[in-house]
Amino acid sequence: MDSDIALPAVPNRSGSPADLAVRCSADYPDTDAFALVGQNWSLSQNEWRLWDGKGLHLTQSGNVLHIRSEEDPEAAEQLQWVLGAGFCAMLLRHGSVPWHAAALAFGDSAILIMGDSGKGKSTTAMALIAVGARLLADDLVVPVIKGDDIVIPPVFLNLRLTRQTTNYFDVQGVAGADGKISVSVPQAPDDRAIPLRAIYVLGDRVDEIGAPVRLPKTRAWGELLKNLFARAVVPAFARSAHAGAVARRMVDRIPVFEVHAPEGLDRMIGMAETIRAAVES
Amino acid sequence: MSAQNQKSDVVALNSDHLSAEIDGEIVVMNIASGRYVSIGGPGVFLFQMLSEGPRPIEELCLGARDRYEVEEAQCATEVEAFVQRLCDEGLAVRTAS
Repeated sequence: MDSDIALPAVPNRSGSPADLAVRCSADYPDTDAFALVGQNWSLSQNEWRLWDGKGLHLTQSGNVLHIRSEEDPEAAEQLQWVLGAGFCAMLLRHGSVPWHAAALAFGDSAILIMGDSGKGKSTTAMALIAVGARLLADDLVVPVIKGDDIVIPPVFLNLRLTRQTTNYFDVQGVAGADGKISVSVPQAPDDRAIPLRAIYVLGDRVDEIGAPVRLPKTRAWGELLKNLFARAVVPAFARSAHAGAVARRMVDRIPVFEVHAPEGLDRMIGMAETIRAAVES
Repeated sequence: MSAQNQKSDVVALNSDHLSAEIDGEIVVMNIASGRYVSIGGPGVFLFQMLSEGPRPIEELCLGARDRYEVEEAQCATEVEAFVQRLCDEGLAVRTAS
């Protein structure tokens, strides 16, 4: 990376020739130059453009990502969008399929935690860390299919938690513009990709902790794709069939469970213990 | 609109969808909404016909009757219900010919 703006958890200057340069730009690209135009994206053979409707535009041309912003692009909310939308678009362009999930490992078994915003994904991840899991990723996960295995490489070892959660688990971090606390998880360095063993999809919160319920493959496929990162731009990179096929391979090999986080942080540990016992059995 | 006009309506799948065949069913997701439906039985055959390109309603009916040996009236009802379901989920568009 060679970036004009500060990126969280990633060095601005890698020291070796950069795979990607991130530049702030004063100009908007000429939209007439793009062959395909969607709701918030446009695409030509060598370039794509995304905008968030609030004055932030991303354009990739070759190995340069141009950022044009009405506001300070390093403001936390916009930066999260840069990381989410921009990098996912690049991943899709190169044939990788990004998922909106937290990834953790118990020993040599990785799990994904998926769910809509507000269902407790990051809080569940923190509870799993409290019972012995190692964080592999939060928010953005890119599984790699290696032969018969699907493995999860570690990336961006940060959790974004509510202040209430950080207080409960006694961890500290940096507050963002949205009030969430970005917590760098202290753990021994380990860059191994871990085989994926199970996926847990968070449903609505409940009063009582229940056992995870395994989903039939048809429903598991749909629930996975609901958590496809940057789903709206998938067609722009002709990746629709690929994303559907990757989800198909995942549900063929990996059990997908629905689980419901309990109300109350004090009961999250109980749910985390249930998941750990299932993974380690 | 007369029933005769409706049979000539053309149905086309929305290009922005994801689909997969799983355990004899086809699961289809509307990319924009994130909603998905599971299609089984004769619907699988009809969806495969539509996956090859836009089709008039009457062509879907003829194909289903030929494959499943079902009465014309019943076939028309079920094809209409299938097409309506796809349209309601934003997975297909129906246009008058």
